[in-house]
Amino acid sequence: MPTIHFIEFDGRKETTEVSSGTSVMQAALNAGVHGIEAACGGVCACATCHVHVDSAWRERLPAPSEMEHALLEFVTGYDAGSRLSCQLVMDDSLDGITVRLPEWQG
Amino acid sequence: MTKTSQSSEEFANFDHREKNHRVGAECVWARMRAQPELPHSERYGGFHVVTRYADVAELLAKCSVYSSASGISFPELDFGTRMYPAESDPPIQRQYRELLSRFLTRDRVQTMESAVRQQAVALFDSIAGQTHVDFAATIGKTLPVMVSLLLLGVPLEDGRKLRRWVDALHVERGQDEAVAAATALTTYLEGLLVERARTAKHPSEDILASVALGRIDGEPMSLDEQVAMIRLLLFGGFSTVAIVLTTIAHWFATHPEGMERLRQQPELIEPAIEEFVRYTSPATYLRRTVAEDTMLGQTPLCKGEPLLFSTAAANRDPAKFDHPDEVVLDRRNNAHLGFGFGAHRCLGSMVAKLELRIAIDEMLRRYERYELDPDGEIEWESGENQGIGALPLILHPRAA
Repeated sequence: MPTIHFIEFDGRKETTEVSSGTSVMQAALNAGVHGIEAACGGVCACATCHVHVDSAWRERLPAPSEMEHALLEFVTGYDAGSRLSCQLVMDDSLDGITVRLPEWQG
Repeated sequence: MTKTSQSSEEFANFDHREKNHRVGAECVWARMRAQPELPHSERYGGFHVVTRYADVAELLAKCSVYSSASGISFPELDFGTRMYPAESDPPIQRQYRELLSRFLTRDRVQTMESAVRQQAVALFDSIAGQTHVDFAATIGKTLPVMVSLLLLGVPLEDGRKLRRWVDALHVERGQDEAVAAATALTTYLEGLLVERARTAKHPSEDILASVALGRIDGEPMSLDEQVAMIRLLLFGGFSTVAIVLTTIAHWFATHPEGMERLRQQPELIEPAIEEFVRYTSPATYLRRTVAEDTMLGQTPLCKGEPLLFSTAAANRDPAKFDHPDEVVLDRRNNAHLGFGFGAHRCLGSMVAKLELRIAIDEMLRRYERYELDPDGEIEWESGENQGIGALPLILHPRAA
């Protein structure tokens, strides 16, 4: 099963294994990671599951959809690694991915 | 006659504020969505109506093109002050929003669960033994008021007068009763905020402290702006949840097998809540103002013109949802717009879902089934938020 490394804003680390097909958002909620709101439940409508993907992994992810792109435009602390974690679906190719949680889901 | 002029004529008298507009509105929306161009009404000085899912999502995503800064109600509900953060655009909108959103996070809302349940239990206890009730008056409209007061840290005994004022503002717009209610509500909220500004040590203490002591671009807000923010929280939390909760009771009364299915499969309650929000979409119509000449779909739009958009119509779009006019309890990938989308998405959605889940728990636990009362009459809200406003039911309690 692929592994995800979460780094919370205060530096705390959480590593969790998930089944392929699980979103990074759902994995964070299941693991009790702080910093994910996921107000819309994971349908790309709210932008409260914003994460920063480590640079080594960005290229391996599918590009954001038009909807995700529109939502990312106004998140607090946007950078080149910003993604909505509900749109990142785990599989073996992402085994070991590292994502950082923002200070705030704005 | 061209197709465009036909469509202009068909909806020339469209008025989203007419009494009982919401009854059968899905048929009107279906005709509107089918038009290649955006339908146009000549009411209120003229406006286009946006009803297709793809068009509403685009409008909500492009905040700089479709601005909220000139107001979001149509025709304008004028309190003399904008209701922030809803009636502003990013980036400044984010500052207003953060004053509230830190109190509406998943963790914060979870800490409210036992207090909300206590209120819900007390309300349902208050009608125990009764067989004929108006569900909206007894439960639907009351629970959200109590929860809003919990959220604000305001005495629960203020609930009754607060609800009366907000009801008057929603329904009786422009009449003496509405003016009196607006004044009374403003005076009440000013009192709360002035008192909190005096007693609070830090804006992080609670919502009232955050608004009373909060700063935008480094400057404190005027008392008028503070009042407008709290007023918006109340508007957001009262009748919207009331209408969804009452619609759930109506659906239970008309779909007893669906009520039983939820009892047997409680894991469906969470997706069902999203589905009830999609189906009900109480914030039926809102406004944006075109900020630059643009095209939405095939329709050219000019800077400055008002646009009425309907998340409710978008949420019934068959291009997006199978069986859009039915409640599908286990609907998957339910990307509905009932809480909005993007920058302005409902701040209180976590609270709303908590209230609805607890209320559904109580309904399923206490009642075998509901039945529409043939001697009563269902009434519909026709103000800013639309949906069932009075629901006479016959209650069938579960055997003890």
